[in-house]
Amino acid sequence: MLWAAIDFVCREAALHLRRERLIAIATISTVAVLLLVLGTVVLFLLDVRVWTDEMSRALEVSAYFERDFPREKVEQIAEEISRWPAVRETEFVAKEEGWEWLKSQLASSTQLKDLENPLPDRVRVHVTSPSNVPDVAKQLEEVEGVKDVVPSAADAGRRGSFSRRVVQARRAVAYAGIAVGILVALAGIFIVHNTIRLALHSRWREIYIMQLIGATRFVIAAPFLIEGMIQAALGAALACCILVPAHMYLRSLTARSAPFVFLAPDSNMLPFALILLLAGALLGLTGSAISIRRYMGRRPDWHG
Amino acid sequence: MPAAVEIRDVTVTYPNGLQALSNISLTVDDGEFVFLVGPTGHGKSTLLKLLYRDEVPTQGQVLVSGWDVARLSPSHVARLRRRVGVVFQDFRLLPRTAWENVAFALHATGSPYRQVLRRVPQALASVGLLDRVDDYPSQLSAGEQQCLAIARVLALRPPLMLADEPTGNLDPDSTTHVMDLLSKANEEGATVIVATHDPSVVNAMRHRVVAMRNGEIVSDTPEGHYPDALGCD
Repeated sequence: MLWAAIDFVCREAALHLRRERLIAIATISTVAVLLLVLGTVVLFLLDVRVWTDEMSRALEVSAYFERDFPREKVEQIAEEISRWPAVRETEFVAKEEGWEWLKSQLASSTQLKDLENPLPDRVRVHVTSPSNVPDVAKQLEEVEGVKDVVPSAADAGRRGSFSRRVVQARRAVAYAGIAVGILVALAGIFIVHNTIRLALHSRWREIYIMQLIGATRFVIAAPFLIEGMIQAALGAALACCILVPAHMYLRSLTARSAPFVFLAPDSNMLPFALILLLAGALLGLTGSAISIRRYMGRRPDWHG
Repeated sequence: MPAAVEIRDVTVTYPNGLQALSNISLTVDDGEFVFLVGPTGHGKSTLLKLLYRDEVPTQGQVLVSGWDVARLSPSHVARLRRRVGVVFQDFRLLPRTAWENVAFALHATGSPYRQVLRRVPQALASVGLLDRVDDYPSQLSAGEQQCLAIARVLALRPPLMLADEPTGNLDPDSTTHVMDLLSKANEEGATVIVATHDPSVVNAMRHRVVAMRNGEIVSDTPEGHYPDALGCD
């Protein structure tokens, strides 16, 4: 009995996908356009997130020690700091190493040749999140032997500081992502619901006959749900076929001509495509479920 | 064993205030053939709708095979409707082939594939449409379309068959054929209730006649004729 019902449901879904091609094309293309918009927004947000992540990776706090502070103790302190929860990693930079780097970076390094090294030992501290910069800077200022911290806790906590801007940008991206996601999902359900309602309108006779002869609600609704899901997933696949190659091309283009622009890596494209497919299938399922619910209890005029 | 149909003091009032049925009671035993007669708009169709739960009574109780139809859950409504086959004046066929129309009903009610392959030709043969299996309803005459609608019901083998003006759109020859099919179903054990306002259909057969006027049962005669006082429309 159950197998017969499943067999019927699948056959009916396949029959309608085959017979009602125009309606299927309308649904698939509508969903494709919608998910193209949603996918573009998601990719943009993903890229912005990748960019802010790169920015936060570049964020660091440097602790400069007293010139006469023992190097062994500096190295030991650097090791201890690396265990702080808000710290990702530390790097000890000996004053000689720092001086060599500085000379190599300055165009007129020959003029520095005879100068005595003015730099102290320092520890570069990379934080786990941009929001940790002020706290880490404050803690570093209290560490024994530290003479100067750049940026200082006061500078890092100031409005308009780089770390605060990165934190704000990340937060804005997250909120915008949620808001756009909700709006597009609602619009998607509405559009899919209306498209599928059109498809259902041409088939209310079947729904009515099925109700009349005693088909269960599952048997009546399932072919429409499957159809809606498959059509929306096909629309999502179409959107993926456009978005993924376009993003990969854009990334290769920026890697060559604008290396300071960070875009989401190609390895992110497979999960992105799978999520978009899943979102499409869910949209189709939800839209169909809403539509079929409205039709189930109706007694239409057979001649209307 | 409960009666096939038991209607107890039933009143149906539509939301617009129109009273379609007024305190009627009726019992139909298993295996009976009953004509429900009366002019159009006097409650025959509403009474049939109560039996397949397309309507629910405003007051009173409707029992089909002992089931109180007004109190059924959605899944039980589906089970009730598998026991009640309905034939309409306007056939209500799908724009599919004759075979597919009958097979659709069997598949939709969960019949296994082998049973469908066995029952569809049986049902189509019993109404004389075995040579038209690939024809669409639009390629069939009105009489043949009604035969196809009956084949769809026969394939499901319901113990109760309802026919709402089944000959309303048919010529005399087709009318005779359709009534023969319903009689045959009755002889094979089904309880049959036919709503009609056509005296010739009723008078050509000797069955119980329940007459309705203004939503009330005005006479109930075993092996009766169409009451002259009712009129035809």
